Amino acid sequence: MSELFLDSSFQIALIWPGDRHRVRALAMADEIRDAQLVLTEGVLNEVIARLARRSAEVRLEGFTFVRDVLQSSGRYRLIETTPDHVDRAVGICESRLEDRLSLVDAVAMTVMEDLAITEILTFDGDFAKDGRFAVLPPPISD
Amino acid sequence: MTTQNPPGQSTNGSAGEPRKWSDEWVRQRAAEIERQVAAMPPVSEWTPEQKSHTGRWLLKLVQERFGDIPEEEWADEPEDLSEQLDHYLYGTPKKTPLKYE
Repeated sequence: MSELFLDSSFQIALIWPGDRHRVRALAMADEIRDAQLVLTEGVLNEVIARLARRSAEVRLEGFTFVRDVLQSSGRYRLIETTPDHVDRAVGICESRLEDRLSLVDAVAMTVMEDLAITEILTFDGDFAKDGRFAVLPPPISD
Repeated sequence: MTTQNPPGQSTNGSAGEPRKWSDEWVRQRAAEIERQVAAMPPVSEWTPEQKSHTGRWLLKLVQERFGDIPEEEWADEPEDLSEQLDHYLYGTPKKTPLKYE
């Protein structure tokens, strides 16, 4: 079974009906079969943080969504972040100061390194700019 | 992953069909997928074979949780939220967005 990293931006595109990338996220998601979606607590935290602005009803659905992910019997894999991940992620942030990379994104990169994951579901250009990861859905090259 | 063809390398569809990953193809596919996902039973009732379609499982989970939220609830969210999430979460400058066909 292949593994793909599931970034917060991709989840947001699916959740927010007015997002400009929603239809592309829908089409991309439907292409994924027999795969495990890998994510970190930081990624889930970004989704929940954005939903924190919304009503109690939406926030409750957000928490239930996280629980759904945790209880998905192998389709999702939540990686526990270690001090080593954070240390290496800080190094990535230091090396890309001009990009203002978030620590959450840099930790995701270290997790992908460790698990030899080469594909990430995201609309965040920081991952494409890194050069090591194939961004899905596929953008056009400059 | 075994399915995607990057734009520019994708083959043209049959006559009259939009090329895979073009804006038109994406819109058509999304509308079709939404109809199909809506017609499916709750995830809790899915067979192992249905669950092997990982992406559709994700879509159904999202629909079950957020599909009935009134549109007004999201009214003040920007349309570039996903591609500029760091800007909206952390206040960093907006990035050059990825380009799609």
